[in-house]
Parts: sequence; C-alpha cells; structure tokens
Amino acid sequence: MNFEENNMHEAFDRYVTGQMSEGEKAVFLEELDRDPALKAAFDSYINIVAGIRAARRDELKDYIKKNAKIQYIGNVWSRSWVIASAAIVTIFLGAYVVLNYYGTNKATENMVMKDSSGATNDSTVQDITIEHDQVAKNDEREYNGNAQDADPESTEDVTGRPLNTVPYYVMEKTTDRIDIDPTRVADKKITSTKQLDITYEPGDSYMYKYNKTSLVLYKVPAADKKSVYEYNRSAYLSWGKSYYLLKSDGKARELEAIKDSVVLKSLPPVK
Amino acid sequence: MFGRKKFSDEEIVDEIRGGNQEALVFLYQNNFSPVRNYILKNNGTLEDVDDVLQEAVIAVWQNASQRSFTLTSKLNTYVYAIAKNLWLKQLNKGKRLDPLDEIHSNTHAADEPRNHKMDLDIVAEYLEKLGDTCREVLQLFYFDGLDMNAIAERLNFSNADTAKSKKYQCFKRLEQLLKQDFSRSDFNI
Repeated sequence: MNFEENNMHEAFDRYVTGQMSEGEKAVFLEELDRDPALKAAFDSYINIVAGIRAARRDELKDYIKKNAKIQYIGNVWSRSWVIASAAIVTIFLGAYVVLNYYGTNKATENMVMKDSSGATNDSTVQDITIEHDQVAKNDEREYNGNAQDADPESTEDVTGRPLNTVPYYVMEKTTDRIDIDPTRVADKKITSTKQLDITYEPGDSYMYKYNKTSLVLYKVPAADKKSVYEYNRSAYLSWGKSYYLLKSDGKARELEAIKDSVVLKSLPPVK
Repeated sequence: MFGRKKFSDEEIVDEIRGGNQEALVFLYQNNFSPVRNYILKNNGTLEDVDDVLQEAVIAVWQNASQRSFTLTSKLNTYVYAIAKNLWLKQLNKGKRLDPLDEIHSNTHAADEPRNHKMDLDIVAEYLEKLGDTCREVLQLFYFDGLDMNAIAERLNFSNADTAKSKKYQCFKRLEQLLKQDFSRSDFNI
C-alpha cells in the first residue's frame, strides 16, 4: 500500500468512512503498527475528523433543541397532552367567563316585554303547555318590621333593616329534550344559580327597587319564601303564588303580578 | 415542508438527502412518545429521553444521507429501534452516551485515550475560521457521509472531482492552522 501524502489521506478517508474491504483494512492496520510516522499522521487525522464530526453533531442537536417544541410537565406530559390540557382549561375558563357575564350583566332591562302585563314577542315560548296559576297573590301580610317574623336565615343590614339572601336562577333555552331536570320548563332549564340580597322596608304599598345586584322590597314580609328567575334578560321575583317583573333601573316601582299567560308559562310553575 | 401534514417515509428520506434539517425535528417529534415511554419504563429520565432520541434521529440522518441507504422498515420503527439500542447500550455501560464511540469503533485499536473535549472544541473553533464552504464540505463528508457526487450537487460544485479537491484542500488548511498554533504535544498533532 502506497502511503504518500495524497494517497495516505485518501486511505485514511476510506478507512474512517468504512469503504475498505476486510483485506485492505487488515493491511492498513498492519502498516500503522509497523510505521510510527504513519501512526502519528493517522492520530492527527483522527483528531481532526473527530472535531469535525463533533461540531456537526452539536450543530444538528442545537437545531433539534431550538425547533422541536416538546414541553414537559412532570415526566408524563408530551406536547399533545399539553395542547389537550390547555384546550380543556381554555374551554372551562371561557364557560366560566360567559356564565359570569350572563349572570351579572344580562339581568338588564326587559327587551321583550314592555311591562309586567305586556305582550311578548318571544316566539320560543309559544309551545309551552304548562298551566300556570295566574291568581294574584292574596295572602299578603303587613310588614311589621320585627326581625322575629323574618325568615330564620334573615339578618339585618347596617341600618338595622331585615336582610336576607334568596336564590337567583338563570334560565336558558336548551335543545336537550331528555327531561331529567326537575327545574326544566319546556325548552328552558336553569343553567346557573347565584344569590341575591334583599332588604326590606316598611311601606304603604307593595313596591320594589332593583339594580341587578340588590333588591329592596317595601311592605313585603321578610319571612315569606322568595326566589328570582332570570330569563331572556329579564328578572322575575317569585313570591307567594305570583311572579313580579323586576325592572333593573333602580327606581322604586310597584310590584305588579304578571298576568300574561305566555310569560308565566315560560317560568317554573308556582307551588 | 414539515407542518401538520403527514409525510411518507420516502418523502422524509428525500428531505434528509436534500439537507433539510426540519426532517430531524419531524422525526424527533413523531418518535418522542414511544421513546419516552420506553426509556422512562427502563430506569431513564426525561433528560435521557432527549439525549437518546437526538442521537437516534441524527443516526438516521447520517444513514439516510447516503445513497446506498435502503429503508427496510417503517422510518418510525427504525428510529425507535436505534433509540432502544442506544439506551440498552448506555444501560449496559452505565455511563452517558459518548459521541466518540462511533469513531473509535472505526479507528485503530491502539488509539490512546486523549482529552477529547479540549481537542474537539479546538477543532470546532478552527473549523469556523475556514469559512462556510470548507466547513460544509468537511462536515458533509465526514459526518453526514455524503459521497463526492452528492457534495458537488449540494454545494454547486461543477463535479465530484472538484468537490474531492476542495475537501482535501480544506482538510489540509485546517490541519495547517492547528499545527501553527499548537504543538504536537499540546494537540496530538
């Protein structure tokens, strides 16, 4: 084997790139053992080749590190799990924000009914068949301002007025036709429940003031059971055997029992 | 090229042969889950997964770059098998992967242990001084395993002889620079 400068380099190349036959390789290795100068040249060559390979390997590894966006959480999360989890969290957060928004801001001025006895243009309630008691409340009692008559859960506000908290149900239309929800009214059901503070004032007539976040009732006994339903951006007070529309402009208004059968059928029956 | 679309194994090999490094990322991401599961179940850590999978896809890169390479199984199966073998080898040795293992296996058994890290860093530094063309020619030949025809095609040389001549000149230039600044005792040269 002739190992002059150019040929030697080519022989080294053929060896490190695995192009030598087994016979050639054996002769090459014998020459290395026999010739110290050749061995020294080969050591130098191998060092340089190792450096070239290491540089390229590092370059490719850096590229992978920069571009393979695998994220780890603990030791079991891959990119797909992270994406799926992020999507679930986003959906839940979105649902929370939407429900919160509807809960706090959509009990606004009635856009459907002009007043408590007015007609409605809400066509979604036309097929409701539940009969509803339309008799106006007739068991009204005088408010005597005595906390002992109030609901056991009632307290007093800072001015000493009776104060209690009642459930505030948000109802929405649903396409779910499986009637497993006892609170469901035809194609509507309660989708969320909040709490509403009510304070009580004495008065000559049954009145209210409502501003979306609190309700003041005049003359109405604190001890009576009450609840509020919100549907189609309108709030309705359930008290006794009647519903009362609550306009949310904060002005003192008379409580007027709703008589419109279409509106009443869109709300849960009074028991 | 490598977005969310699925690619055939042949397309990926073609991209590797064209020098498209996105293929490395594609292979890494596609094989991360199975390799992770295997290594974590076999006493490994996430750091091991990263090391082994990088080595595996780079090995595939080197093999697929050669025109003689023929794929006899699915590419993902191939990557997984290499990663598995690398990890078993590492477990048996009880030490980290050594990139120099490969070159040692191809070199003379009488090679003495050397301070590889210092040597390699110095060579890498001087390789940069040669300029992009020389660096690429040397890396494509000695690491990617391209033959002279492929290098000529990749780097727009007129033919394989030109590529071969350029490779030799670049190697000698690198050797000369190293000899100028380092004695044989400093650098095994």
